[in-house]
Amino acid sequence: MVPKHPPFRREGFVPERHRNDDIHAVHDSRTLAYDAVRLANGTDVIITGPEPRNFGPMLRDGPRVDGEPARRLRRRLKGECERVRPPVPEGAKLGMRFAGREAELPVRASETEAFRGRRVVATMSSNNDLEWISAWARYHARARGADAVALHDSNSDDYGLDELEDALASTPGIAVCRVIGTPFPHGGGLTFGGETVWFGALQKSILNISRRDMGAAARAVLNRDIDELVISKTGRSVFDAARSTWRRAVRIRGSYVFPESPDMTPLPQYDHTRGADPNMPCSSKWCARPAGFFARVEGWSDIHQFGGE
Amino acid sequence: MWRLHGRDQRHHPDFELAHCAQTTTGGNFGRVSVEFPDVSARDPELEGSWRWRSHSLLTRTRWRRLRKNHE
Repeated sequence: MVPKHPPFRREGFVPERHRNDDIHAVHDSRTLAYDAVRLANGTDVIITGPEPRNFGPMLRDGPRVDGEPARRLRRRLKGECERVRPPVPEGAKLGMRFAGREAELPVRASETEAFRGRRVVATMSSNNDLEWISAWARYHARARGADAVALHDSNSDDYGLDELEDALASTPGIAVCRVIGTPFPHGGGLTFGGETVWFGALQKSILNISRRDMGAAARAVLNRDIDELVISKTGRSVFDAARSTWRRAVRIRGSYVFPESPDMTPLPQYDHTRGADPNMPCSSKWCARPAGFFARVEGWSDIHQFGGE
Repeated sequence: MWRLHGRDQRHHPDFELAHCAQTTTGGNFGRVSVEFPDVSARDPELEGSWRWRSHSLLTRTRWRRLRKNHE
């Protein structure tokens, strides 16, 4: 993150005359990059962050490799997710220079090999109960055949990342799990003229990090929230279905389900045994093969995949 | 190819996503304040208990409130 001083404020897409306190509250104005990971090829590092806007020159000129300006820098903006890919030799230090100062950018090792050939469920969670997360993983392991979980934790303060990873690692059927902390503003939705606009690119960026790192060599990746379950009507594996389609992805129709209880008390997932009549649809989700053509060209988004709904 | 891709927006008929409307409070990333039962104990009922039928208790007002909480 950049300093708090006014010159280091990332501009939002809302014109200045329309900005109010609500917008300032949800707009992430200080994050330059969410993640830097060394790819499995050993030479390239991918820096992923929100759309830079006025931080663009900083991302273009800022990356330093052992103190020298990074060469052969590749940049790609997809949706609201910016990806910068400088070649960084093994052992070299990656830094970021801005306003006459240089800060080191920690680069984590690739997780691609650990997830190779796995059926991965990727999600993001914040302060959800550990037992509930574990049960969610158990469901997808046993009922859907998932054997790996890539979970990005967003600012949980009820427990540490180690506890979360332990809870997942002890889940039967989950052979590989990784918990990655993402201590960044999550953003939020605001309603303008009846239409909700989402501010923040964290979730979208996280999914694309999963696509390029954890999921890069995976069999397929299923995108789910903790309160969502995939039901198979025929018993077929959703991961196999994703691999067998020509798009290397399946879109899954979503519906809200409800418990019997008439009050508004939060209830466990398996108490949600009723659908609505007429059906109440929610956003579609998807399962996709990261190496698929369209995944590579279009990137991944949390809801709107392959051109949207 | 792009035209075909753009038109092929169908959902897969074999799968359904159940989005539990009353598990979380405060939105999709909200705190879950309930104890979740052990899935293994409920295994036989896992898929069979999903009854897609009318919910007599579900009013339009309640749905709006749920959706508002959930967004």
